[in-house]
Amino acid sequence: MDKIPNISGYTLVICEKVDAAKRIALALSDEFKTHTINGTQIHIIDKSQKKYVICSALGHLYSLGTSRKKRDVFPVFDLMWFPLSQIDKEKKIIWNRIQTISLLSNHASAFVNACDYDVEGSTIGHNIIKYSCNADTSKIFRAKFSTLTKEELSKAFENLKVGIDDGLARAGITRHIIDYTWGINLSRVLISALQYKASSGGSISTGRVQGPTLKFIVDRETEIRSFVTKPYWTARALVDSSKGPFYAEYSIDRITERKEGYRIKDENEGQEGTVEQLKMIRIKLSPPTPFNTGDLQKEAFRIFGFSPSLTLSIAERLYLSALISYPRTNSQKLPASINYLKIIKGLGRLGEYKKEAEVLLNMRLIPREGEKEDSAHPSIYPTGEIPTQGLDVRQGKLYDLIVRRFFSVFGENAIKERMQLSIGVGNKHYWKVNGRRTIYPGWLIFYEKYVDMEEYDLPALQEGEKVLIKSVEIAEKFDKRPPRFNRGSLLEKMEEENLGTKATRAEIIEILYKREYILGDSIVPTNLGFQITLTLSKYSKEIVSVDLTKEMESKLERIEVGQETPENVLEDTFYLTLKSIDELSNNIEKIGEELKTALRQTYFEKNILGKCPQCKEGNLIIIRSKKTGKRFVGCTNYKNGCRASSPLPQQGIIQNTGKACMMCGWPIILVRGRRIPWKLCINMNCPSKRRQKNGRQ
Amino acid sequence: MDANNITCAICEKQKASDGQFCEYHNISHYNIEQNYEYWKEAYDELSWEAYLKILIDNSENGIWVKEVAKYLITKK
Repeated sequence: MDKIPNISGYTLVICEKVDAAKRIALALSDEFKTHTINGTQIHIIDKSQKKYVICSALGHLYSLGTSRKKRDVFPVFDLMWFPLSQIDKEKKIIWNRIQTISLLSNHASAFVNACDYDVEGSTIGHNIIKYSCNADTSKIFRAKFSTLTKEELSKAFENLKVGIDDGLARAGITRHIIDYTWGINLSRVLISALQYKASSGGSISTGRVQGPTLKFIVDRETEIRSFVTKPYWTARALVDSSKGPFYAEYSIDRITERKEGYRIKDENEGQEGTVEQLKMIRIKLSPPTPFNTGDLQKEAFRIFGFSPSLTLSIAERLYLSALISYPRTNSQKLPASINYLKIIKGLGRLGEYKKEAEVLLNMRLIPREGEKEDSAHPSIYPTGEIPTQGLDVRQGKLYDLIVRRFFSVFGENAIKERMQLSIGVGNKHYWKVNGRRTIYPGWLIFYEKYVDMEEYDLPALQEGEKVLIKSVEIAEKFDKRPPRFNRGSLLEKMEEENLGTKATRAEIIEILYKREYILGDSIVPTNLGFQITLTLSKYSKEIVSVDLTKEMESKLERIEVGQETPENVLEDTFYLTLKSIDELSNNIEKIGEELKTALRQTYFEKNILGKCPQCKEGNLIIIRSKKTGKRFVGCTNYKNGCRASSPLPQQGIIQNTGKACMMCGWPIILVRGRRIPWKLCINMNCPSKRRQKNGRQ
Repeated sequence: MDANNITCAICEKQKASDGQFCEYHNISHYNIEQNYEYWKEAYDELSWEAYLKILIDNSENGIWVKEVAKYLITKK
């Protein structure tokens, strides 16, 4: 092991990430030395008045675990915090980090938890100081900051809070225990149920937030698959006027009977109409509220198509580069203490924001704020620091969105005008023409890149002017079925229902994909997803109950602010867990049967590529060779003599396109790997491939 | 026990406590029946068979609705 520098009596600062440790070192002193001990980078400030050793964790170093390892044993309540390296053997690096921090703690006289100031960060720092440093509580301090700028970090270290066990850490630890207890016990019941009916338990799980989230998707899909559309009709007229022809819509948007539609056509076509009214309505559009995590994720999905987890990871990079404030926040508040003026001046030094900054610097800076608050952080805002390194394309896009949103909240109201021209035909029928225009752009000048600014003008007609209804077009339409969730809208739904936290929502969605409960960007539940939800709803409703999970979230929030105790909340959880285990255990055989069928169906759903073009009876299915471990395609009718088979690409995820090759009739697959997704016919003897080969020769 | 008595008339799922379908096809069957009146009024005259055929052909309708509609036509 590398040697520990010969100093003592220092303050050991624990950060969450490597970049944050370096920024904190820079903020505390211009002169620091960097050493590497056992693979861990540490920064040392050794001055007579200031002695710091700054090191970083790698996220969580400890994780909850149990000594009852067998996957079908339950209930499990004997939980303990273990080094993550003991739970996940591949994380040996974690053990090295724990050892290094432990050694450094021997010569420390005080400890600062400088991990991100939120529930997760407080929990990470709490566990490290408690289990790796074994520190005396009177020597433990907490640093509170929302940006990694030098100024804010210096202030945070001048005003350290005493103590380790704050509400955030208590809430974080309680959340971990609840989720672990709920998840491990119920998942083990499901695994046991499967083992009862099959040789293996498979990869099956549920969780406190996972169950209700999956239920949203299943309920939406049920609605879509059992949707019966309704017909309706719309009428549109081609109108001739002194100012030229234009289209007008009938005053009733939804005509519910076909004969009524055609009566409107008969009674209007070729008739003279009169411009009766020109209505103008001015609408005030307030500036948007500052971004919290959910709002940023939704907006980045709407504009750039970034998944919520991608947005969060890009935002983390921007935060670690000190370009934006902490991105995991519920707050829609922008306190004056962040110094608006300084930030705007800073941004004005960047050419692309110079014009906007100049406009704002001549205004009174009062932000529009939303209602949501967060005790730990304000909303997400740019720090005003200039990027020292180039941002990649995605970072650049997200940064621009955050900057422009920040500018917008200081903007004035925008005023739009909606205009409606009304044309009467024989005192019985009315037609309308709609237009819209911007009267005063207000905040839109900062955010125009990201909003629909299209304008529609009206024909310049006067009231009383005569027009001709030249023709009327009746269109039959049908109600659209509800849309499927995508990652963005699902995240929005979870947020609306207060399911999970800003830090965990995106991760839970990814778990649903990993478990093969859901598929596709436009999210569809698999047979397994359907069955898990149906089974859990049937035998233990509370597991998928949104209300129960929401109630739990609200109790956790109360722990954060000291209005609830972890003991009370854990007692409720243990009681509910035992109740659900009982309900499921009483039906274990039935549950096993249902899940086994669903697993089999999901396996086929995922691996069947289409009908076999050779025997026309079997299906082509992806098979992995036991001998070589390689995947290939074969026919399910093999036992009856069909020998159709072909090799498959060994890298990437294979998706069925549902299409057949026009040359040979074999299925076309889509391969998603590191490169751009590509389509190919899986028949290695396909004439199209021979043609390509010949072409190359 | 006869398997037909315990499984849905359309899919392999278990039959719901009422009717001949599983829980999901039952919902679709209910929706088909509930919406017939609206469709009849919308088109002035529309027979039950013609309605079922439209449900099968219209792409907005859900897959389970189409399956139930096909089943009801075949059964007749």
